[in-house]
Amino acid sequence: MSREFHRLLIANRGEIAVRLIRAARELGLETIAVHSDADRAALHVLEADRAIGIGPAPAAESYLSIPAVLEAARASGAEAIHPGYGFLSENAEFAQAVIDAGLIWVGPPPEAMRLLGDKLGAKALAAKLGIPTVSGDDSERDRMDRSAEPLDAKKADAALITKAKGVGFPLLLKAVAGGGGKGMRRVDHEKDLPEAIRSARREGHAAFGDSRLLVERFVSPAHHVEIQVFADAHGHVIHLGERECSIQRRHQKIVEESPSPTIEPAVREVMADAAVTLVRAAGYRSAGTCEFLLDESGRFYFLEVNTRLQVEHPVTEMVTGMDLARMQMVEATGKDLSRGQSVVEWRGHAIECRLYAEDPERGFLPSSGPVLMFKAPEGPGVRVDSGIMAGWHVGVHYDPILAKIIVHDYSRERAVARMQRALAETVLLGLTTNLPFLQAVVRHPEFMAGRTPIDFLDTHLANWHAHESPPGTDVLALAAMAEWERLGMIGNGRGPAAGVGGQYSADDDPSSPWRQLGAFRLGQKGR
Amino acid sequence: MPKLDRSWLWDGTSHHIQAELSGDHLYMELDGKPVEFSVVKGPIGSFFLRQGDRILTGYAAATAEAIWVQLDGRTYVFEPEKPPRAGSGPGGPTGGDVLSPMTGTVRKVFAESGQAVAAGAPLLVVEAMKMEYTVTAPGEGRVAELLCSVGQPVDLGQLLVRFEAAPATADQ
Repeated sequence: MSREFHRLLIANRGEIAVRLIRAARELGLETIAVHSDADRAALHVLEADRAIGIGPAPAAESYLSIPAVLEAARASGAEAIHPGYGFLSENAEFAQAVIDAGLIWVGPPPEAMRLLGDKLGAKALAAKLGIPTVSGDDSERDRMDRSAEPLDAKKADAALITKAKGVGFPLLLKAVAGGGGKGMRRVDHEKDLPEAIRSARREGHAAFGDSRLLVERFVSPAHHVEIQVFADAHGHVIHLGERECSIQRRHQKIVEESPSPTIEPAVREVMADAAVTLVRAAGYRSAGTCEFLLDESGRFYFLEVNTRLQVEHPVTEMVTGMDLARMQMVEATGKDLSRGQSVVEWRGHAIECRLYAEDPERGFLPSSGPVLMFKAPEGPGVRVDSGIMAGWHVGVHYDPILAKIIVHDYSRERAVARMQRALAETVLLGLTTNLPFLQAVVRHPEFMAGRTPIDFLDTHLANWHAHESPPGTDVLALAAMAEWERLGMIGNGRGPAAGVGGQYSADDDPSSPWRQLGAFRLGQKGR
Repeated sequence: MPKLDRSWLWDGTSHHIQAELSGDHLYMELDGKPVEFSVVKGPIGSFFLRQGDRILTGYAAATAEAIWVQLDGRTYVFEPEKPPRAGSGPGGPTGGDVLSPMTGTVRKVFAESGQAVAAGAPLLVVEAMKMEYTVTAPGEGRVAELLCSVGQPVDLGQLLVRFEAAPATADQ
């Protein structure tokens, strides 16, 4: 039973919305963008066929507002909705509301989203299917007394010790309220537990006002490896290989690649099989990703399933030559994937770097400002998915991702060189980005050697600073030119002093027609 | 003939530039030495500088607040050297005044006007894009004046707290 549609509403913004519009356009679909007040002139709005405002800038009042998005769908006559990633993409209630409104939901069934979206439920299902999971215990979440010296400290500690012994060593104690490594302790031996618990509780209480701890088996050195799966409504499930996403900062991925430089072919087979089995058991459809921790002896442990398209999906697309977003849109019509796994082939190596509006020299604080200039890298094997353009003002309301720079080449070594070239060609002026940090990552000898465990950034780039040599004559000369251009003092046709300072053309040839035209400029508005 | 004779700050250090543009020749003086480029201006924001047979392609753009330059994959930001702020002196901004580290919203305030604080004591929390940043006292001293409140949106560099450092002890 197939159900065609022609009008697709993209319930998202930024680079992913642009990317989805491209896929829809290739399928001949009419695209409808939604936007907050802040995004009235955003790239995804300009690229869509139609656009509807859905509320003020804060995401909670716009992109996260189920009533606002559904109303936009109703008003525009949308027949299907693609949620992108983040925002409402893993909200089963939203998926159900879309379906109840008579629209097609481009994604998995709400029941599968509920089952797999619940971490504990997904782990239980995995365990039932014989898939190893990261063992852990978080029963302290239910404890009410969060003070540093709880009244029933002895009892709480004793219970925690029992749970810890069940989890096994080495293990991690982690503050329930925690982040940034505070309240975290690694414990290798049972005898070290009592003191580690006391000290972690103190630290957790000092940092977060909450002394509760959870226990997790420590897997090390670990790699974050995930399997891309795709399923149809007829019970067919395929996998598109793995991605290695171990270059992370506080659980925020920064660089990803496919295939994983760490995984052995035999382990890949078993991991992929586990992923396919898991999502099939949950009645899955559309694109999804199963995340695992892989240790260097080849043992892996299931972490969670992401019931949506992921940010880093392009690296999979580059090595398989398949278009996941388009596949999602086609699958949503009920199409049969029965040709199955045999159509998937892998070729070469792909790497993605995420360009963020962040200042890596100031604790990765979000940055904001105007995009004075954006020049994306080009050339063989380079793909850029971006949501920005020159003239856009990057604000602070949304995720700081500006663009994804993806490269593909026939080997990892060549792909790394290509990424180094692509990053060197990337120009972004007007706000601080993590571009120099990305360059440091892909130039690091350990990255180049393919040794990228999950603590890569903490180990090798924890106190990174750009160490730039002071600006020399060349840089100052360019600064002077930019200042003159701003003041309208050089001949670019803009400003009252157009023509002053001499005539400029991209061609030095005295017989060039540009010189003969003199101060005449086409298409330039006076400022 | 466009001319420039001013100082810019890069990474806290001052860089003085004297430059003059005549036709498509750029003349500069650096540390008393003359430097010359021939310039070809490309599409907006890009410039090709030539020195003999050496060619550089660089990108640069300026606003009133900053000049951004990118050359050979390295980015530089210059800011105009600030003239002394109006109202500087008694009652004006003093070193140690606490500025907002980013554009965002004040979520928590831990201190009050007049409160004495230790070095590193948390003063307030600013939040943007689900990330929280705790602003701390730059040294031992006193919150002379709290200039923000919970829920208030603030800009990068906005003055949040007037801070008075404790006087240094007599024997250093």
